[in-house]
Amino acid sequence: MIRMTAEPLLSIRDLSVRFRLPEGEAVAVDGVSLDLMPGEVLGIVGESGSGKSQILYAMMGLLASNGRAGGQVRFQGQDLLSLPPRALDRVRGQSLSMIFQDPMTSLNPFMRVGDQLAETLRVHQGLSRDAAWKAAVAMLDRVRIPDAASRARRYPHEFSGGMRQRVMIAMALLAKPRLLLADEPTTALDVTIQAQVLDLMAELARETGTSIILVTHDLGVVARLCDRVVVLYGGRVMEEARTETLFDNAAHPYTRGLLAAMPRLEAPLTPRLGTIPGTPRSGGGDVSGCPFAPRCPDRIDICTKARPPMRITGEGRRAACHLVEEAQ
Amino acid sequence: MTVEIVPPRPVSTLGLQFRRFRRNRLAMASVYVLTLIVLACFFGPMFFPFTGQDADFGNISAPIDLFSIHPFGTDDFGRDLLVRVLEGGQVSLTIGFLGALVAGVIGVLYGAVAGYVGGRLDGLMMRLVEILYGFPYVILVILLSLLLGGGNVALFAAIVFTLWLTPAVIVRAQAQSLARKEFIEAARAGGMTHRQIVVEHIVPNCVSVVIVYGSLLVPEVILSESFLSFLGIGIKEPQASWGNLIQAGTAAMDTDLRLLLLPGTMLAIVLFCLNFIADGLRDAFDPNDR
Amino acid sequence: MIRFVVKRLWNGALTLAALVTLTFFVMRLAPGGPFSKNRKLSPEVIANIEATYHLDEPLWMQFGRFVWGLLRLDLGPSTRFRDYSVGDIIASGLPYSLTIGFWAVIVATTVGIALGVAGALRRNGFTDYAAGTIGVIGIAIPIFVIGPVMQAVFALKLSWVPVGGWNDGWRSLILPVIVLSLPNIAYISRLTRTSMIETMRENYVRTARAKGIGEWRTIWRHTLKGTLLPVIAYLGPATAAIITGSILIETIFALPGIGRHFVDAALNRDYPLVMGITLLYGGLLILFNIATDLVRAWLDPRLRHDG
Repeated sequence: MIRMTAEPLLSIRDLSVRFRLPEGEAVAVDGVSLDLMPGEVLGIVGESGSGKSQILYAMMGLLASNGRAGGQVRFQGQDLLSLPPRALDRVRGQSLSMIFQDPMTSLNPFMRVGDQLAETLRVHQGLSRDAAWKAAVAMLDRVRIPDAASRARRYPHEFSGGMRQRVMIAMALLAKPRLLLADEPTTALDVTIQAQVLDLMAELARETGTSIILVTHDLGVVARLCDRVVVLYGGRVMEEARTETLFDNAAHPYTRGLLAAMPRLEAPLTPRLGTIPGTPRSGGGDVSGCPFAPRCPDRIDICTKARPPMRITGEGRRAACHLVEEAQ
Repeated sequence: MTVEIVPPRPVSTLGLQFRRFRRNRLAMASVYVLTLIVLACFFGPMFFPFTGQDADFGNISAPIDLFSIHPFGTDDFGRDLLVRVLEGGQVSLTIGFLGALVAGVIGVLYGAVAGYVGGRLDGLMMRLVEILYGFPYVILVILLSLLLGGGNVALFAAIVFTLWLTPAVIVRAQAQSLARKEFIEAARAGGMTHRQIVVEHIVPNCVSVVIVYGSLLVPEVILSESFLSFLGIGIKEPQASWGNLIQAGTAAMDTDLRLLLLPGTMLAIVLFCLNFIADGLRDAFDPNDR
Repeated sequence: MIRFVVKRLWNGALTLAALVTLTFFVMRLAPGGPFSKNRKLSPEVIANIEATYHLDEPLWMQFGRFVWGLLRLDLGPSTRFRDYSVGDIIASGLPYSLTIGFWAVIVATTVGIALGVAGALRRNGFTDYAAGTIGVIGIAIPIFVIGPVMQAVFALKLSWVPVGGWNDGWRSLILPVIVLSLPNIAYISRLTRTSMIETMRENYVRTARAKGIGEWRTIWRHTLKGTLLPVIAYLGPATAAIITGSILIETIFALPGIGRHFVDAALNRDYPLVMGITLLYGGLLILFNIATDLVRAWLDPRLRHDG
């Protein structure tokens, strides 16, 4: 694992998420381990169905009723997975908060926006109605909602998608959490405002000293914001590296495939974008070999037979591939 | 554990839905029970040497004796109870299924036209439906059957006239969303007339919705008929229907509970079955519904 | 909000106008009534009748007279009880019907919502199955079967409650109210259960959970409104069902309400009375539908603006 001197804020060990389905059991997340330092921004990248969002849901105790999480998620000295509901509620919304993918449906349509924000403070910090409302308005102002004092009295349907996501960001950062989980926060937004919203989120998080785990399928977003990246495929970690390293010198064939499929401004003459052949694996059961093997261009015999071990390939770098050499 | 993903054989959606329905035990049991009751009502009376209107003066108010000629006894006119209940069933079931069918067809066509054409015609057609919806429907039935002069045909017409509204509204919504789909656009571009499109594309694509709600219409029609007959406005003595048999049963309740329980149970069983079948159909055709 | 209210009122007025018109023409066209011409009478008598009922006037004037009468709440005399006006008969029956209807609505909504919520919170638990069973029974067994059966068991056999009539105070109310509310308990509990399960799957409820405000607060502040909106929307149709049911209930339990008068009037072709009660029912229903819409708009900010 990654050895660093500072104490990590979050450390996930061997996390698995399984769903009971009528056809059997589906494994969405399969033995994922990772660490996060205070103030760090970590990206989790993967295709749809790679299990990336389920990691966040498992941490927040928000898995669907047929889902079970196994392993350990240590956050501020507690294992989130084994906390009783009341104790988990003291963590959620207070020191750990989350922004969801779809801002159009993630706000309560029957409640004034200001009340939805104030609620968090009233419950967690016991603020009076007035004080909580004032704090909520101030926070809306900080996410640059124009005329925040009167907008706070409005209902979600009176806000545009981008505005609603700003409200979500305001709500998530209101209690100055230690860790913010962002699940594809800009996927549902108009392309023109995606960057704006992301930058705002990162800027505010920096001000409050909040770490971020950003789940996305968009490598452009990762390059823009993240210090470090974890690449996920079929519920397993394929590779982990610092962002620059990953973009310059990816170790795993899957990561290279992803990068080749990414449009770049600085390479205008590429006749066509690369694609990864085959269809993404999702929600299957355990497989004996590497989950990416069926689609891998560099596949060798052992790939379909033995599970590739996680090898540390450098400072803060690791990859799970039979073709990758362990660093000395 | 491994999930084997077997590529399914290509089946039509309708076929798949019926297969799903067949797996629903309660619904399938209801289908069998209902079939049995229907057969009994229509063929059962043939095995008796008398009809439900023949009085057997030698056996007035005969008790239940399963091995006699009157297995469930006779009423105070000496009429055989079992045969009367079965004959009543013929009337109730016929009105039920026929009424639902006619109301369904009217509703589907009305809704399909309104939804497909849209615009002002749609607004006008739906305003009419809205107004009719504004009436408590039993009142409307009573008014109509009075207006039509009473009798079985008037009763039937009145029931049909009040029950086509729901299928119309549902089909209209479906047709409205269909009319915006690309394949309708394609059909229009391909030179199909409006009539062809409504008949060949809109109506068939509403089939599953119609089956689900049509199945709910049957118990509703049966209920309306027996309701009215119970009040004395529908089918009248001496012709039997479950409604007027139950009414006669209530009148004789303190002396002979049988007269109430026999037709009441039959009606309840049929309504149970029809509701379970409707539920099963809904689950099979619209699995997201719950 | 004001536009919404105006629109609802306008729609209600339109339905009411349609109701009045329809009522008028049904009275004119219905066979066998006092206006039919199939009886052999001398021309003088016919002329006399026509003059009394203003049948010699053109149709639009007759209609105007009818509407004018309505506005003064004067529906003319009943043709069966000539000494009483339609207004008198309705006024005498209305208190009974309203009392039963009121309690039936109260019982149906409270019990129905409670059962539905309990079922949704503990899915497949005991309450859920109990509620499901009541639901199936309430929907499948008609009032006119379950009513007499309960009457036979609880009144005739056990003598816990009176068989019928209105002579034993609140005890006379028990059976009618239970029987009348049963189908609505069934519908409302089913509706509440599905609606609550659906609402709990909403993204915004997930957001509330993520805020760590606790399970009770999540349910109370974030799921209840979403759950109750469809239930409130059903209250309009529920009123219609209660009206329909009360016609049966008053017949079964021999209560002197307007439902019973309605059936008697229909059987005896007492058209003025039938029409009077129809108008009353229609008016009540329209009023209830408007009230329902207003309550929904009050609860759902989205409706206030789209209206």
